[in-house]
Amino acid sequence: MFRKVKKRHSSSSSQSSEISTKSKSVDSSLGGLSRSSTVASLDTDSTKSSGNSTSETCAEFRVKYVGAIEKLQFDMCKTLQEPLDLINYIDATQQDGKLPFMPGDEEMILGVSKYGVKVASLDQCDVLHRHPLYLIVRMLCYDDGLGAGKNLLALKTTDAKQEECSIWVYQCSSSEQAQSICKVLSAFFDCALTSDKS
Amino acid sequence: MGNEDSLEDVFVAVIRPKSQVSLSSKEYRAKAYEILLIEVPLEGKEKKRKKVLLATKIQAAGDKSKSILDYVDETIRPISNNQGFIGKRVVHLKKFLLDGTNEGKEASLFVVPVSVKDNSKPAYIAGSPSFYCFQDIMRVCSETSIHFCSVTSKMLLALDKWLAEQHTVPHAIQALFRPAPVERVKTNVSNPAYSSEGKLSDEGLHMGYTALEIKSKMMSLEKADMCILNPLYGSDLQYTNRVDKVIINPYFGLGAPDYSKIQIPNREKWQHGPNCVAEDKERQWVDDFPLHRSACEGDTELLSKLLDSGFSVKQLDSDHWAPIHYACWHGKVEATKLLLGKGNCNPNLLNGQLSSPLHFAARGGHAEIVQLLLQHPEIDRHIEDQQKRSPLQVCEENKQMEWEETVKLLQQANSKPYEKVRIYRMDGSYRSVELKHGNNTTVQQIMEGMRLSQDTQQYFTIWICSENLHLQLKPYHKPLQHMRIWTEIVTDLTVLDPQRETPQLFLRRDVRLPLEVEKKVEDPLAILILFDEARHCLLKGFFPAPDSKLITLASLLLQIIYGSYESKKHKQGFLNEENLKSIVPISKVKSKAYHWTNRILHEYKALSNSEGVSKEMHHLQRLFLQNCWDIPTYGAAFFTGQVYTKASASNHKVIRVYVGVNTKGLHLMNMETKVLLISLEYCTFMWQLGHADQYFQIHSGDNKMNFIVHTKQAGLIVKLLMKLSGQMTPNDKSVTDKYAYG
Repeated sequence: MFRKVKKRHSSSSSQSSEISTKSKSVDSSLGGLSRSSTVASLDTDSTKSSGNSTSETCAEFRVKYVGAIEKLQFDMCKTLQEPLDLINYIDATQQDGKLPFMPGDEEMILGVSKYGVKVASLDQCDVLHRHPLYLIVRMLCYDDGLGAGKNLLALKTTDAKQEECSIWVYQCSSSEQAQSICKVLSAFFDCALTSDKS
Repeated sequence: MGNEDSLEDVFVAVIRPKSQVSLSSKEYRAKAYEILLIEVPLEGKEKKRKKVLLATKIQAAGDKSKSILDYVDETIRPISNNQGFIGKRVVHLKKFLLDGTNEGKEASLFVVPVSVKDNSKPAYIAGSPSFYCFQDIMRVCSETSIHFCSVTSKMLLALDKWLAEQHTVPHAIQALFRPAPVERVKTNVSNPAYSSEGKLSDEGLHMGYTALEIKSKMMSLEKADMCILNPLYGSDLQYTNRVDKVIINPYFGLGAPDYSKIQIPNREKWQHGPNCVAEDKERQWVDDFPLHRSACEGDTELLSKLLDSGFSVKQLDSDHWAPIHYACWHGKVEATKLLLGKGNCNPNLLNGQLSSPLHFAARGGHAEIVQLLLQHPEIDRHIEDQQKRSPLQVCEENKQMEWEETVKLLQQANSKPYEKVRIYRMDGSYRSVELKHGNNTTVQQIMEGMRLSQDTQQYFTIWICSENLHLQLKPYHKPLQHMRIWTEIVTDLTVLDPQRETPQLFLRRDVRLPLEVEKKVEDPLAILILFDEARHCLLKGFFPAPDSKLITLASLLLQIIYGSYESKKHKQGFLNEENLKSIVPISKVKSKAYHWTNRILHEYKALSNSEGVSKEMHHLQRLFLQNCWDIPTYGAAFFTGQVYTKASASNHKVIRVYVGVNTKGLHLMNMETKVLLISLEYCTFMWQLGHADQYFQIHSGDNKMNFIVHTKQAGLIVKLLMKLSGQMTPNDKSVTDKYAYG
């Protein structure tokens, strides 16, 4: 009850890019984790120390949904392994008119936790997408190049059998927000490894 | 090395905007762009040249984009001072059918956008391509143009059309010329579980785990830690929507608060778990409602003690239940018996959710309690709950405990005769009326049980009267419940000892009945009842009137009681004190009546001998009423009160008075002497209710009168004054809001 009220309250201040974190602020808990997890493979100490503290948090951000390219076949997935290929592919799809250049007006809450990424309506009543952590292949943050300095967040996911892949595109409110989403996700990738559950 | 078949013919249209501005233009203008073309000699005609698009062959299976960009880079390098143009992207436009030597083959056209034209002078090298203004090109371009190769013409036309289309799409042109992905990418986060994608970490391990291990760890997060099934799901139990706690913001609507003054309660207090709250609530309940708890637990010893110490059986707890509801819900027979007997609890008492004890007992299948309740004289066996269900229905729906036995009891009860109540008339006679709904039976239902004609019924209603307090009830009132709480009512409205006031129900004239209507009453029974009441009032002294009027009324009564005058029977001595008591007001019997006997007998004789007077009983009774109608206090409801008069400066004299209110106005009578002190007609005086309904003030400008009557009944009096002053004419009977207590 209390939590719900509080959430409403903070979501009304539209300025902040980070909506709320349920127990700890993202900045403090992820202070030592501002790098891609693939790079940080040797930095096990810092991930362990922060692993437990972040394990139950959920960082929430306000984003807008651009669109998705769903269920690409295996052959196509193989050509999209490099980040630049992925951006190129999204660009081309947009140019083709199959993916919008701009998001809809409605804001959504993108929550990142150790369970993955969840996109819900502002009141958190409707969940639009849920991407379980183990199906997330990659998250990319890049400039949309249309001059307004908007940052897009591309999420590549696969299915359990790894036969298909999908690309989900969201627009962030700022470059900083986009970067912190990436940081948080990166932290949770590491966090999943240090969790005690077998 | 390349197999001829695996190579694919491609044409490349390298285009660039002349200026940055044209990118945001919504209108398509060909002159805003330049296109890269190569001039080649025209076959046969040495001098003439024609322009063609860049064309090459690429590996069909390879990375087409990369091949094309490499090719473009290589081609443009010589003309751009060896700096090269970096193609931003490769956009596939369309496939075209080739003609000439390659007839039947297909080739794709790709568009490669490059950066805005710079100001450096292009180096012209023969045989190398160069940029041409697209508008100039399109001006001379047609399918048959000799300036272009025919495939090129076709492609240029298609390109022109495509560019025009792109301009109509918002953002499409900016997107076409936006920087290459490599310049735009900012952050890349890849899942170590898919390390085969992208770069491999050292020896394929990430933090000492293989990709497969990482994936299985992540998958395990998808598994639930705990699974809780709702045991009630599908059990068909009724959902009761009971709110545990309601907190209303007392400051709502008062504008923005001063936040600096708001204190946040101690963390410990509001961080209690839900269990703690429930426990607190429980403890609170036990402390606050001991009677409820003892009923709930069937602790008869404590219950009895608490009843002795004056706990109310009517009190509702935080859940709006009274003790009897707990006793019936939990099947505590002895506790129920105590509450009904010693506690004199209303067996039809409703809880906040409008359920009765009988419903609760029936629901739980507590046959013994149901029996107990049904035996109660005041039980309403037809009682319904909020969902209009009878106890029998509730019992059959829930089928608890000895429900079969309970059902039987409830069914048997329906065939039992109803309890009855006596409704008295002013002459002392009564009729017993069935109480179909126990003490829930309303005035309306009792009136229907009186078996009066519709016509007669409208003149009368039910009054509840004890020695010194008489109240007319409203149709929806439940008289038996008034009788239950009569001591409270008496305490509320008088200073009398409630123990001496025993209430009874009477059928009496409706105080609102206008005289004009009464004058038209023909029905003998109605006349009889009105006569009985008028006679009662006369004898009690409530009709202050001149002696002559009292004598006429006395003679009429003689005619009615003893029949026509007979000189042998009705001599001087016939009117002894005993007989006088039945024809003249009690206050006159001793003081004056002896002097009247001659006159009374004389008028009696004259009446009996008068030819013009019908000796029909109801005619005589009506004649009696006729003589009463002009008495100021006729048909009044009487209240009691006190008036203080200033006998001298120091001491007040207290006069106890009757306050009569009828359709004519307000009348004050001395309670002792029955002398009419004041009689005011409506419109000649004003009234005002005093503080806490403890007195009212009368002001009459015409009579230069101003006085205060002190009485606990002031509220009732003023309400009745308002009602009767407003409705002097016979009006609609639909007005249910009759004068009464409550």
